[in-house]
Parts: sequence; structure tokens; C-alpha cells
Amino acid sequence: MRRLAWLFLLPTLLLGADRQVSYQDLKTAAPGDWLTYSGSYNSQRYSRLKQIHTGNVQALAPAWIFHVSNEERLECVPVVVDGVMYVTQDNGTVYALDAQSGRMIWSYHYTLGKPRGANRGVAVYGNRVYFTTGDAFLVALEARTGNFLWRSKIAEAKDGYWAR
Amino acid sequence: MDDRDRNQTLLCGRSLAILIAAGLFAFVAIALAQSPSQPAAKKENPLGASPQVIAAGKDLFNRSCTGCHGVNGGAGERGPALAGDRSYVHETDADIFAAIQNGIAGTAMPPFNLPANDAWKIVAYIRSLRSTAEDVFVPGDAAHGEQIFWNQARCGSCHMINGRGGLLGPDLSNLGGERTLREIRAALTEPKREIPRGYRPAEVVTKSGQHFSGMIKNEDNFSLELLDTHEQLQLFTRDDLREVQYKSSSLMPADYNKTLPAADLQDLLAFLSRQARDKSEEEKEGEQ
Repeated sequence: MRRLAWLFLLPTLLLGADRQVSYQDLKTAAPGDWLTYSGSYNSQRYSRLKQIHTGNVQALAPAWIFHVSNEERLECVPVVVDGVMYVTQDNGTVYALDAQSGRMIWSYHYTLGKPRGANRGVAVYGNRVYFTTGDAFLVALEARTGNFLWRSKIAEAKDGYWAR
Repeated sequence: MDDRDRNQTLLCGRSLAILIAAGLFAFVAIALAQSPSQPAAKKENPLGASPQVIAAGKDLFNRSCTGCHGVNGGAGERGPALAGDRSYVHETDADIFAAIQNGIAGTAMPPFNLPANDAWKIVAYIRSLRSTAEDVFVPGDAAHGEQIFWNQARCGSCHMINGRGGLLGPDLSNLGGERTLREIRAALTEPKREIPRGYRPAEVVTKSGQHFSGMIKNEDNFSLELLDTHEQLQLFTRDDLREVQYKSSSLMPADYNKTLPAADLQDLLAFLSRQARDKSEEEKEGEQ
């Protein structure tokens, strides 16, 4: 049901020129953006969008569906910046989608290590998209193209650490 | 035929099957018992794939094989191309070695029975024709090629390598690990037959009269996603757009053989072919 709500929110996301995400944006995100895991630093998960309310919530319907192949579960929180939605898949794939149409802009597949467990989504800052991997790396991608920029080891995977 | 007859027929069939199976087993057992006297065939090239071995292989190849297979493995009048982008029946070193030494039954490929080392050198050469660029010895000054990449040839205005460069073209950080030398050379010197998905240039005009030009990353009947020439994503619904002009040719220049001196182009190829992810790191991580 929460996923459906996400889909309904999408048409309300206004298109705008691509911009970098600043620290100020992360603190007080525009209503159409969802820049962090829980939507704000105090983790309220509260959306200031007004389109859905108690009067129309029973009429929610899918606006689009993006099919992720070979996936048993999706545990990521979609992060939305200026109409671009970033979604991750457990096998280390990151997708950038046009949030209004559901069309893919780019995808990146992490092949340097083995996937392990669920992935909980990306973080954004500046023109970069960050995500963590099953072999305990932090990976940075270019937000507009998905180009791989760098990765940094968080902990030793062989000692049993992982990240999601 | 009543039930008992049918059962007997079935029984008969089953005994026959058991007999055949037993016969086969005996045959295989005898064959196995005889085979250990033969030395096991080497799966990988014992000479390795150093530039010297490949160069020696090329010499031998051009002496013995080009008559049918064409110069540099590029298809001849009687034999297929040994280099290129197709899939091959004889893929492993041992397969190619066997094809050279024993010929290929049912085809015009004769057995050569060369000294084993000569055959292995040819194997190394043929494999080098098919490998991605990082595994091939590419002569040239890679450091100078890097200068050309960022300066004279201006590749970096559209292409990124390890986080540096432009966004309109594909990232080339692992080019040498993904493409053959032949493909890289073709990208620089031959007009594209088709524009890869995600890189078709276009100009769009919105209903409010704004113009954007860039690369179409994706589109359908309802939407169009563009990375414009200022490297900003522009996301449209078709309702927003008055006009979309598709450009028929790629923005990638394909005349570097004319605009760069031959030595510079070779240096650029040497640089590009060495752009590859560190595989040792990948394998190490993969073991965990």
C-alpha cells in the first residue's frame, strides 16, 4: 500500500532544471523531493504534498510500473531529486528513473563484489548518488549518467561485515 | 493384446535396454582403461601470451594461414575470419591448437602437424585477435596518448575516465576491458552504422518555445528523457513538446585517422586500450 502511495505521488512532482543537492536541501527538502531515507533528518516520513488526502485516498491507482527483473524483494526507499527517482536492487543495480513516466534514464550494475542481502536505497549530495554494497563498500556514481566515480571500503567483508 | 502380453512386451523391452546399457558400460570401461597411457592435453597455452610470442605467432600465421584465412585474420577466400565479433566454435587454446594440428574434419582445414611450439605461437596470435584490447599488446606511447585524449582530440569533453571528463558520451574507464582493439579503432575511424541506445542526438522544442539539444536517454509515446548539452537532465512528457528533431548521425567524430597524425592515433589507441578495471581486485573481492 505504501508503494501504491508512492506511485500516486509521482504526477505531482514538478519538472525542473537539474540542480545539485545542497546541505540546506537535505535539511529542508522541497515538498516534491524525497532526499533522504525517511524524508527528513528527524525521520518523520511526513510528506508536505497535498494531492492525496482522506477524501481521495480510496481512489489511488498505479500511474506506472517499472519492472525489476529477477528480484525476490525490493527494500529500498526511492529517493527523488527534481523529478529523478533513484532505486536500488539487491544485486547491486541502481536505476535512475523519470519519476513522472517511470522510464529509465540510466542503470548501473556493481560487479566488483558479490551481492548479499537487501539494499535499502541511495543517498544524494551534490551531483552524486551514493549507495552501499553487500561487500561493505560505499560507491559514488555521477547522478546524471550513472558513471562510476569511486568506491571506498567501509569494513572488511571477509570479517563478516556487509552494508545495505 | 491382453494385459499379460503387454507386461511381457514391456519386460522384454526393459531387458533389452539393460543389455544395451551393460554393453555400453563395458565399452566405456575398456576405453577408459586404455586411455591413461596418453598424456593429458594442455588446456592453456604453455608459451603464454607475451608480445614476443604473439609477434612470432603472427609471423607464422602470415606464412602458413593467410592463404585461406586472409591477412591478419580478416577472412580470406577459402577460410573464415579468425578475428572479429562473431562467436567461435574453437574457443579455448586447446581447441585452436587441435584444429591447427589435426585439421577440422569435414572442412577444407587440413592438419598442419607443426612443431608444437610453433602451433602454440599461432594459437597465441589468434587469441590476441579476439581478446579485449587490454590483453593485446598495443604499441605506442600511452602517456602521450593520454595528452591527446584530453587536448588535441578533445575526447574528454564528452567522455569520462575515472571520474574526469564529460557526460554526453559513454564512460570509457573500462573500455579496454570491454572492447577489442579492432572495435576501438573502428569507433575512432569509421562512421557509425547505428547510434547506440541512449546516445541519439536530438533537438526538442517545448510548447512554450524553449529549445533543448542533447542526447535522448530514453523515450516512448508519452515521455522523453534528454541529457542536454549543458549536461543537465531534461524530462518531458510528450504533451510538453511541440517538436522533436532527431539527428541522423552520432556526435562521435569518426575521422581521427584524418585529423590526427598516424603516430598520435596509435598513441591514443595505446592509451585507450589500457583503460581497464583492475581485475586482480575484482577477483580478490569475488572470493569472499
